[in-house]
Amino acid sequence: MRRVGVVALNTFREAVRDRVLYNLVFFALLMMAAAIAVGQISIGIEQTVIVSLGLSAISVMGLLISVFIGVALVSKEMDKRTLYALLAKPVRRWEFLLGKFAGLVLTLAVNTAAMALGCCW
Amino acid sequence: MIYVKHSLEGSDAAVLVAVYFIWLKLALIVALSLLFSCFTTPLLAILFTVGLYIVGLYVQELRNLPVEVMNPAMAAFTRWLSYLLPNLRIQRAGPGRARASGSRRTDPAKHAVRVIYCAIVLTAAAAVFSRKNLK
Repeated sequence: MRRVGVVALNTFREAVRDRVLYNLVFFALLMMAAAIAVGQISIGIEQTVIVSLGLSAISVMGLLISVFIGVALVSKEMDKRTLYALLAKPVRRWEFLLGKFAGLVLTLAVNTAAMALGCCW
Repeated sequence: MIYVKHSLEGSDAAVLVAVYFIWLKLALIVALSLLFSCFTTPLLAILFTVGLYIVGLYVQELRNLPVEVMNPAMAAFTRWLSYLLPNLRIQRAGPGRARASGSRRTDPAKHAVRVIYCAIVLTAAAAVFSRKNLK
């Protein structure tokens, strides 16, 4: 389980260094800020519009992050041939995969928390 | 919300529950993208994952198809397919809807189904990746 944790932590570090991630979070926050303007032109349901648009922003941006980074997790390791060096060590393949999954889920947790804060603010 | 209302109420916690369920949905999508990326090219994996996500949004409609006007075999197939695919639709939270559908959204069974589905997909991904020829 320790090996899974190490892979997860490195995946998290790798993901947070990705600029695409920050761009997507920025656009999500921008969408939530725009929700205030959209809410003001709606009559009586301002709060519902803000919450709905905020949750949609979290969902769409989260989907983009999870699909694009999720698919690149394994294929990038194979393309760069770093996977071979890693699997030569006493790491089982399922541990590698579980670590990658845990790392990205951790990244998504931080991202959704940041976007939820933006939505509540 | 604080910017508009200048305060938060207890019912606003429904937003956090909705965010938690979105996070669970995203975890499921990550598991699916990992599964597909284990045996196909990245482009195809993206297409498969997005395709499954779109189908997952309409699982309820697939289950409630007008079966009486369809071929019985087709009706059985769509019902079987609707149980096989993940249900990725999330009830939207809002001040009005929070009270109306709060009990459905916090349903622990829904939470358990997503976690179990995620575990099954990850197990399948691990099985495929373990047998993959990396030469």
